[in-house]
Amino acid sequence: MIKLNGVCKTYDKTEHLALSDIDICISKGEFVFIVGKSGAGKSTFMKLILKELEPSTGEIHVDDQDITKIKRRHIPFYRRKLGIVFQDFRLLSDKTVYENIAFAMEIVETSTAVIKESVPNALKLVGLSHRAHYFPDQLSGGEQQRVAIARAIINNPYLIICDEPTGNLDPKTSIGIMNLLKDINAKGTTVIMATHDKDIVDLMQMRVIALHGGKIVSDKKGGYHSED
Amino acid sequence: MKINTFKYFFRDCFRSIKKNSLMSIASVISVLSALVILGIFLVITFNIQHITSEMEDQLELKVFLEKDISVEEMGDLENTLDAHKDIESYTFQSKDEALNIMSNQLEQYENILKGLEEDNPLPEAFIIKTHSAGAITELNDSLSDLDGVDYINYGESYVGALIKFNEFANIMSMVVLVILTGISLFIIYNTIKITVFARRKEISIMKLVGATNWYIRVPFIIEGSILGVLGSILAVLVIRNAYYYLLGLIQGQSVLMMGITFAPPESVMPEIMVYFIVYGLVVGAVGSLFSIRKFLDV
Repeated sequence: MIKLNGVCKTYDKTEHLALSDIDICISKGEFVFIVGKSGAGKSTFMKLILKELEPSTGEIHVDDQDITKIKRRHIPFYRRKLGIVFQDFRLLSDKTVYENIAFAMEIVETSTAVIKESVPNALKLVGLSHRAHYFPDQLSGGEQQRVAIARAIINNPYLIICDEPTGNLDPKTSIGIMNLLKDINAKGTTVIMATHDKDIVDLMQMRVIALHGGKIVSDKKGGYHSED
Repeated sequence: MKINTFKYFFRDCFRSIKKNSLMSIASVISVLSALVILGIFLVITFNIQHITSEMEDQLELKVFLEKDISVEEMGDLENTLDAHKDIESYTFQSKDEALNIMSNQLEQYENILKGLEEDNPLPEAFIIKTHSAGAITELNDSLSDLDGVDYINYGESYVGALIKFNEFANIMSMVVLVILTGISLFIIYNTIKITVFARRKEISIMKLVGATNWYIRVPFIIEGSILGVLGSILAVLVIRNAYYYLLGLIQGQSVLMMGITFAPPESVMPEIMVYFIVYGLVVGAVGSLFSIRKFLDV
């Protein structure tokens, strides 16, 4: 379902080769870690999938669609099929937990009745039903990340992209978040997660794609953190 | 878009005004101060127009008739005046009326004027009011050659000066209006830009969860319009009250007025109000639209 063919990415200003000759195939329902040190190309890889960046060469297919050919004005509609979780949570600070999750449904013009039914279910799934009317800054880091995950899954995406989701969390909270992602993955949603948290990768025993200097240096299933 | 979506827009917009209250107040104050400066200038412009149009109203053309004008010539002349498009109204002044006016004006020479009653040398005249000062010279040219017309008096140099002043005042007000509008636009645009800049993170989050550019823009545009209109209403109130206060002060000093009357607020304020509210609405909306453009590029 996700296929990268000969993808290279050079940043115009620095001419630095962030990704070089990337060929990856990720099947539906897989849980894949993208690992590597800072500057290895993890973020560039995620941004390419999110269509925040365009590849310099190569093709990127997501759900049988060559996303490099998506027109600018259609990007929002592509993104609505993805769930995104960031290291810094990126919640809207002036909205409550409930509203942050509902917002993702409001933009796709879901009816109020459906929103009222779905949001409490998502909150229940991430264990935050009791925090529905709190604002993000009243929550702990782990709780905020759970809200971000609830927002990511609310529109039933076929792919969840997580960029260092445990980067700001303590080990115990991180495990909780990983279990949540594992549960979501178990229901059939593909998860791609960029991280450099060795312990988490080792614990999860999933497919690990290691990047170094913009190239794939290892791609092993049930693997480990090969480059660190 | 569904009605529900607009409900969300207004909800988010009012919440954002409340949350970013400091920046909202700054935006309103920037619209308010720019429009107050513009308003002071507009009031001055309207008053110049009012005074010059009053002066124009007082302008008249005196067509003195030949002593031996025939009844036919008189009839023809009246027909010409009736049909002329530039003439607003005209009255006939007989010899006796002319003498009466003269004796009223020159009371101290009453005795000399008394002698004139028997053999009145003053000519009969048509006193003509035109629609505009600009038409007077042309009317003078077209009437002076008519049969029965002796000569025409209209204060040539005074009319010329008034027309020139009018033209100058009109051009100047347009220039200043354009400059002031430009400056206020720049100030307001930059204030909105700062507001939008402070919320760039919020915009990028919206983009990443799949909001379309219009979905993000509309609440900002509504917000900008509300703040713009709020600023303009406050500016109208400031200008209105200041103008009433000023007129109250001046009217107590009738010696200084020298017969000049000021434009009544009820004729000036509606125009300023419409101009300001449209201006606030458009500047708020367009300012938001343009300042958000840069941050939508995610």
